[in-house]
Amino acid sequence: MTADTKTKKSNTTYKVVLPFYLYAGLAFATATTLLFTSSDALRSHFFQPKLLAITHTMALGWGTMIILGASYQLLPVLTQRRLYSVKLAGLSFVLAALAIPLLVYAFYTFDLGWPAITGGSGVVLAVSCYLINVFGTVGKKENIHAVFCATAAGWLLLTTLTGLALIIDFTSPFLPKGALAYLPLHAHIGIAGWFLGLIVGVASRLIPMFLISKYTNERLLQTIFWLLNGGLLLFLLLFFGEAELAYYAFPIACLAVALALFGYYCYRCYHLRLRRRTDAPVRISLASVVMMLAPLFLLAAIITGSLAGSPDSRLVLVYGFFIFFGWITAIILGMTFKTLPFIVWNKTYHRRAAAAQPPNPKDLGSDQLFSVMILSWLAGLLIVLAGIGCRSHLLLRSGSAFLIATAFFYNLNIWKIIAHKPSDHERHHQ
Amino acid sequence: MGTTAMTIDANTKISAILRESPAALETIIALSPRFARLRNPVLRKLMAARTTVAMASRIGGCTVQAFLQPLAKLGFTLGESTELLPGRTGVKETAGRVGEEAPEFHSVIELDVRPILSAGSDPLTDILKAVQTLGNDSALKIINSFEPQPLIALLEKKGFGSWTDRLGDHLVHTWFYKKEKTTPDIPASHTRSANPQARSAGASQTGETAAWQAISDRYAGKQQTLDVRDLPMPLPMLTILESLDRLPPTRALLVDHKRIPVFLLPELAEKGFDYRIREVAEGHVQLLIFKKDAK
Repeated sequence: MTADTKTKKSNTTYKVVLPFYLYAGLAFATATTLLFTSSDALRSHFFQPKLLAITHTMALGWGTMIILGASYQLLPVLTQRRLYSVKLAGLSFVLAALAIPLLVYAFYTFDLGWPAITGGSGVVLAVSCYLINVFGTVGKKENIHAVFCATAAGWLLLTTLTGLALIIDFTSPFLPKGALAYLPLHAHIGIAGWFLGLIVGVASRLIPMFLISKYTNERLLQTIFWLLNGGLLLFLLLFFGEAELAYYAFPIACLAVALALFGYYCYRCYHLRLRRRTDAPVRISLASVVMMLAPLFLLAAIITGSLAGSPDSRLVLVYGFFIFFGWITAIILGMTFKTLPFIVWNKTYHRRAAAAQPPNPKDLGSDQLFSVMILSWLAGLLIVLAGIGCRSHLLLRSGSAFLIATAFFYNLNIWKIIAHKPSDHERHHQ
Repeated sequence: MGTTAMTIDANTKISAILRESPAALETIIALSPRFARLRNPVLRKLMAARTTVAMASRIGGCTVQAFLQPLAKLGFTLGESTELLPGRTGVKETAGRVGEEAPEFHSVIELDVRPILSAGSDPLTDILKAVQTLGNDSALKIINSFEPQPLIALLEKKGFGSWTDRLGDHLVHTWFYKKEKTTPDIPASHTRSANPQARSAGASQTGETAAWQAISDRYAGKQQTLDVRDLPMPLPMLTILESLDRLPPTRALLVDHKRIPVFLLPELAEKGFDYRIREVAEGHVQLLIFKKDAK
C-alpha cells in the first residue's frame, strides 16, 4: 500500500461528518424561522401541529443530526478503534436527511398519512444504521464514555420506534390507551435516555480534555450511568405498571442525583484544570451543564401541577422550549466550535502540516461571529421565555427574531470554517 | 522479498529470515537452547521482529559468523557485512555497560518479566509504561532470563541508557535510566532512518523534509524525546504539556505520537511554542516543538 492510499483510508471520516454539521445548521435556521412564523402557537396548548414540526426539526434535524455526525468522529477517539463502517454512516445521513423534512412537513400540515409514516420509518432506519455502527465500533470491555454512547443509541432507537408507533396510531389506532397517553414515554426517553445520556457520556470525556484537567473518576461516572439509566428503567416500570403519578418522584430523584453528581464531576474537572483561561466555547458548554437542572425543576413542577389538577400548559411549553432552544442548543453552539475547526484543519493540513506553517486550528472560525451568536441566542432565549410566560405576541416575535439571527451567525461561521482554504503561501508547498 | 537467494547479514531481522524459510527456525534453535522460546508462536512473533542477527548472536552467546554459517546451508546468501553497519543500531552501540560498576539511583522500579514471557505475553507495554514514569534520578530494573537486546536497542532510541548484570546463565538484571538530557544522535539518525515510503510519496515531501530538517538541524544535539504513543487518551496531551513546562528554552522536544494532536496545537500557540510535523508511517507522526522566539 502506498503512503497515499494509507492517508486516504485513515482520513475518510470527515467526508461523512461534515454533511451532518451543515445539515444541522440549516435545520436550526429552519426551526427558528418556523418559530418566528408560528409564534402564535406558543400562546396556546403545546400539543399542536406547528409545535410538533418545530420540536422535531430541533430534536432530529438539529440535535440528533449533529450528534450523529460528531459521534462518527468521536467514537474512534473514545474507543481507540476505527469506525465500524463509513458507508453505514453515510447511509444514516442520506436516510435521515430525506426523512426528517418529510416528517416535519407531515406534522406542520398535520397530514399523518403516508408522509408521516414514510418519514418516521426513514428516521427509524437511519437510527438503526447508527446503532449498528456504534455497536460495531464499541468493543466488549469498553470505557464508561463509550458505554454511555452505546446505551444512549439504544434509547434513541426506542424513542424513534415509539414515535413511529404514535404516528401509526393516529391513522389506524391500535394502542390500548390512545396515542396521547404515550407521548410522555416518547418525550422522556428521547430527552433523558438519548440526549442526556449521550451528552453526559461525551462531555465527561471532552470537558476534562478541553480544560486540560487531570481529574478522572470512573466510579463516579459509573454511578451517574446507573442512576440515569436505572431511573429511566424505573420510569418505564411505573409507566407500564400504571402507577400513581406520585411515584414518578423516584425516577426524577434518580435523575436529579445523577445530574448533581455530573455537575460535581464538571466542577472538579474545572477546579483541577491546567489551563487557567478557558475559552468561550468551553464556557458555554459548561454553562449548559448548569442549565440541565432547570428542566428537572420544571418537570417536577409539571407533575406537582398534574397532581393538583391540571398543570399550567405554559409550564410544558417552557419545559420543551428550554430543553431544545436552551440546553441542547447551548451545548451544540459551544461544542461545534471545539470540534468542527479541528476536523477541517485535520482534513486540510494533514498532508501538508509538515511543509507549511499551518494556521492555529482555533483561528479557522471567527471569534466575533461566535460572540455575536451567543449574545443573540441569550437575548432570544430570555425574550421568548418571557413571551411564553405572559403570552405576549410581541415578545415571542422579537425573541424568535433574535434566534433566527443566532442561526444565521452560526451558519455563517460554520460555512467559513468548512470553506477554509490554505493561503497561497501554504499551498505553495503542496 | 520472495526470492530464495535472500541475502542476510548482521542487521537482518530474525523475522525476515523465518518468513523466507520457516525451516531456519530449527537451525537457529540448534545454535543455542536459549532460542527454544522461538518455538512459542506468540513469542516468535513478538521477539523475532525486534531482533537482528547481531542481537540474537549476542543473546545466544555466539559470533555473528557462527550464527550465519548454518543459515547459509539453507540457501541464504551471506551479505558483505557480517559485522555491524556503521551508524546502525546494533550490539556495539546498544549493549550498554556490562560488568562495570552499576550507576547509583535514588529509586529503582523492579519489573520481573519472566512470568509474563512464560505466560506467552508481551511485556513491552508494561515496560514502556514503567520507563515513562522514570525521573532523572531513578531507574527501571528488568529481571529476565536473557539479555534483552531488542529492548535495549528500542529504549536507546528513546533516550534511555542501560546497564546489564549477568548473574548466571538464566538470570540477567538490566537497568534502564534516562540519559543526560542531550541525545546528540537523535536528529542525525532519525533523519537518516526517515521512512523511505514517506520520501517517495511525492513532491510535497521535499518541502516537508526541508522544513523539518531546518529546525532539526537548529536543535541538533539539543533535543529531548518523548513517546506518547502507548498512553491512553488524555495523557498524551498532559504529558507533552508537562514536559514543555520543564523544557529549557534552548532545547526542542521531539514527540512520537499516533496522530497529529490537533487539540494540542492551540495550546502550543498559547504557550509561545512553534512546531514542525512529519508523518513517519501510518499511525506514527513526529512533532518537533520549540520556543517561538528562540533563534
